[in-house]
Amino acid sequence: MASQAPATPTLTIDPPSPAPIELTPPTPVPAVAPTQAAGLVPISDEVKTQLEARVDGFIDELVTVDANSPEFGKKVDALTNLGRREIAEAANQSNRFLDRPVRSLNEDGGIGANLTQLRRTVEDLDPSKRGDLTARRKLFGLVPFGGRARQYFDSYKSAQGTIQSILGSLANGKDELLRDNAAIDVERQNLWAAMGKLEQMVHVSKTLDAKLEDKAAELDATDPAKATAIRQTALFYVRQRTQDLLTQMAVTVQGYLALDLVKKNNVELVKGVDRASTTTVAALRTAVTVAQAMTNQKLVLDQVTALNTTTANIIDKTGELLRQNTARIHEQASNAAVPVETLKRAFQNIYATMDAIDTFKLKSLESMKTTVNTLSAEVEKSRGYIARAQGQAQAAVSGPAQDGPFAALPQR
Amino acid sequence: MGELSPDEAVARAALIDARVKRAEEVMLRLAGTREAREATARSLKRTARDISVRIQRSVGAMGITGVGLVGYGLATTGIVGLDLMIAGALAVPAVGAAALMIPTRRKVERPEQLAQTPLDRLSGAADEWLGRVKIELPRASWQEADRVRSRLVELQPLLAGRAPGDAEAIEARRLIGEHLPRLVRASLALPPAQRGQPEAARELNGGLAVIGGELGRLTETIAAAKVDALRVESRFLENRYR
Repeated sequence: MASQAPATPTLTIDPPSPAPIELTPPTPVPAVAPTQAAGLVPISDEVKTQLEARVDGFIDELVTVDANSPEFGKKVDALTNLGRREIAEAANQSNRFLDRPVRSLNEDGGIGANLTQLRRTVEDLDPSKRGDLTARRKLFGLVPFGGRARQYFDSYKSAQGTIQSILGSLANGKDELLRDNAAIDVERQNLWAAMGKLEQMVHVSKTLDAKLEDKAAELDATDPAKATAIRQTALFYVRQRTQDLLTQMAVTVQGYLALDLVKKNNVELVKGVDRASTTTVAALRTAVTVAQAMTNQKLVLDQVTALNTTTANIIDKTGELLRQNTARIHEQASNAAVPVETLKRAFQNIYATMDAIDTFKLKSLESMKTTVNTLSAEVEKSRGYIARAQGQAQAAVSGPAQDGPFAALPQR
Repeated sequence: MGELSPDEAVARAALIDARVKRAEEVMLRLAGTREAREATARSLKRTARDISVRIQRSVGAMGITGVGLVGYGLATTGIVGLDLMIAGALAVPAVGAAALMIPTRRKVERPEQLAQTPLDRLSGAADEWLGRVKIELPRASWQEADRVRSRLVELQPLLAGRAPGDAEAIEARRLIGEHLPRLVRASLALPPAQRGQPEAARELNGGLAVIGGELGRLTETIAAAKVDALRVESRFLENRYR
């Protein structure tokens, strides 16, 4: 940044930001109905064919065994476990993703607290609260005694340490948000994979449903007892499993969307932090220039240089802001009447940013709460199914069949 | 030696490969499976550690007793008299022997104890216990038992330091502390003659295979979470600096 600025980088006045910052609160995630949940993740035709072949093989075997034999019972048991592992895997992750929006409601890497502290510190320095800076101070209202401006600019020296440490904390908070987003990316990848597997199992159970139905109709004429057995056991369990799978799918899809909401929220907050840091540093640098113009004395803010480096690290995308219109501001600064106005405007920019962040947080809090409520309700609904699936898992542990005849295939 | 044509060279190389492979297979059969060899190595290591700890303790205890007796003699009478020497000659070896006897760690004798074993030691304790009861199981199940044991060893470091309430910890406790002992107990409850029957061994093998598979899956799940943590860090760095 310094390398692109004119010869004396700390002596440039920064412009009022060209456009007020806009932070868009994300819209809440709507409830996803189980019927809408399927079909979101595509399954390749190749995988579909393989799964259907397994279904055909299974039904052929089921039809050949005696409807009263233990083998028939064993096959039906395999259906009650259909997609058990896929549901468990997705449910396991859903517990984690439910946690994330709730956490983001409660903590933001300390950014809220730091911004409040920054606002307080900045308010103390605000030139518009210091009266007329150009007036001279008089001892007992009579004897001329130093300049108000000089005293005002002295206060910067004591505040610079505080500001530097707040900006440092903000940078850490921003890192936490970015790390949170990286974790969300990874979680969403995992969820996507889990949804793909669920999708496959939904396909299996729907195919089973259709084909068992056909088979039973076919058997009505030749072997009515078996047709009844298929309808009352196999078909019944398959339909139950389809419902379980779709319910879990709905929860997972909703969680997937909710994670995106948290991510967007974080991205906006990061923007806010960037802008708050930029505007603060801009104000400090403006103060250095204005001090020179008004008191003809060089205001040495050792840490401003350090701040420039810190903020250069914090800001990557909004950094250009600091460089725009430098020439115009230089011109304004040379005009004796303008400097205090410029400085006041620099402070207005900080306030505008912080107000924007506050408004954003309020609105996004609402979105987040709505999303968390819908998600919790859905997760609660699916818990019953998961408990049932786990009960079956316990019963199945001594049996030899682990995945049963059906298991999700690796997607290409 | 005459020149070989490329085809001949390839054929000969294939022949040599096949012979090496067969030799390896024979050696593997002689030595038992990899899991079995690893299990033997583990129990040897454990025994060696056990012996070394006991010897250290014994030597330490004898030293302290000897020094104590000499000190007592010097403090009370100023000399180490004959009576003290006799007492020393009797007491020092006795203390040493007693110290040798003290077990170095609590062994899991009964399978019910596994349920109370802390998570940090659970997997290792189960491995040790299964190694001891293996001899009583049908020979046809030894290989499967060894496989379960090697899975237990793989899992051990991943369980250390986990919160007892997290999903993986609960699953590990259920598998290792409940299902595995129940299965083995059910097999041991059979009369020895029946225990070795192919039918019984097959059932036991089936159960052990399920447990081994689940332990493997659990290890994979925990390892995948660690891989995810690494992915998060690298992704964060990419977002942050690029």
